[in-house]
Amino acid sequence: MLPRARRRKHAESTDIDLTPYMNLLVVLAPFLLVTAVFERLAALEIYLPQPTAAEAAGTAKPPGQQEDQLLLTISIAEKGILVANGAQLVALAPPTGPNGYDLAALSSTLQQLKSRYPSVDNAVILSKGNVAYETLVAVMDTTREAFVTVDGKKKRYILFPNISLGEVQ
Amino acid sequence: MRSPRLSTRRAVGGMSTFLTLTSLVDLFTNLVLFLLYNFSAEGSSIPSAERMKLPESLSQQTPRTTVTVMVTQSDIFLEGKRIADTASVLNTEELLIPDLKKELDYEAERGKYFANMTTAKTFEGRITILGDKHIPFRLLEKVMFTCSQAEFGQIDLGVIRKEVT
Repeated sequence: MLPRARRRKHAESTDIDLTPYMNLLVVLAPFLLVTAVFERLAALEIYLPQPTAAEAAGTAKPPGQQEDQLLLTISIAEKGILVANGAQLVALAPPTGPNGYDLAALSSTLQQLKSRYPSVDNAVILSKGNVAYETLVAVMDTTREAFVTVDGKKKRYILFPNISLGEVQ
Repeated sequence: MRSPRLSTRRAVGGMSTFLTLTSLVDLFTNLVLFLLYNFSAEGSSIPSAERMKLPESLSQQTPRTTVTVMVTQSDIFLEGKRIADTASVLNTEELLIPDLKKELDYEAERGKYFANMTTAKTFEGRITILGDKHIPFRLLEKVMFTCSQAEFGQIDLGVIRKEVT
C-alpha cells in the first residue's frame, strides 16, 4: 500500500510553477538597479574656529603659552603646504606637480608630530582663497588620519581629527 | 527519413518540455536581495553628476539629514532652491551672502519652531554643505561664514566615500 501511493504522487507533480516568482523578480530587479545608489555619501565634520583656535591661527604667540605645546597650523600656499607649531615653522611639503601637493610628505610629518604630542587632537588648516575645495578635502583627509602599511596590511591611525578652517592672505 | 525524426522529437517532447529556470531564479534572487540590501529609502541626496562633482574623502562618517546648502560652479542652492549665483558672490568683497543669510534665518526659525513642538528633537543648528570639488576656498568660506552667522554653527561637508587604496 505504501510504496504504491508514493510512486503515484511522484509521477503527478514534478516541479513548482516558478512563473509568478519570475515575474516578480523580473520587475523588481530593473527597478532596484535603476534606483540603486552606488556612490556612498559621507560627511566631514569641521569645527568653526572658536576664539582660542582663532588665537592659535594668528601669527602672534598667545601669552602664557607653554614651551612644549602643539598649536598645529597647516597652511596651503602656492609654494607648498606649510606645517607650523604656532609661529614656528616645522616642515614644508612642496608641490610635486602643477596642482598636486606632496601629501605623503605631509602625512609623515604629521605622524612624527602626533607621536611627539599624542594628546593633541586639534589642527587649523589655513588656505589661500583660490585653493580648490578638492585640494582642501585631500589635505583634511591627510590631517585626520594616516594609513601605515604593517606586514602588508594597511592600518588606520587617527592623527588630528578636530579640524578648524581659516583663510590666509 | 522524415518519419523517424518526427517520432524522436515527439519522444523527447513527451519527456520534458520545461526549461530549467533554477539557475536563473537563483541569479535573480541574489541580485534582488543585494539591491534591496543597498536600497536607501531616503533616496539619493547626491545631486546629478553633470551639474557638480563632490570631492572624494576617506571619511567613514555617515551623513546626517540636515538642512543642505549646495554650491555648484554656477549657483548656490538651499534645500534645492536657487539662492544666488556663484560669480556675483565671488566678485564681492563682503564675506556675508545676504540672500543666503535671509533664507537660512528662515530655516533656523522653522527648525526652532519644530523643535519647540516636540520634545524629541532640539535645534542643533546642523547644516551640510555639498560643494563642487572645483570651487575655490574663498567661496566655501563665504558660505560657511554665512551659515555660522545664521545660527547654523555645526557644519558638515558632504563628500563621496572613497576606499583606501
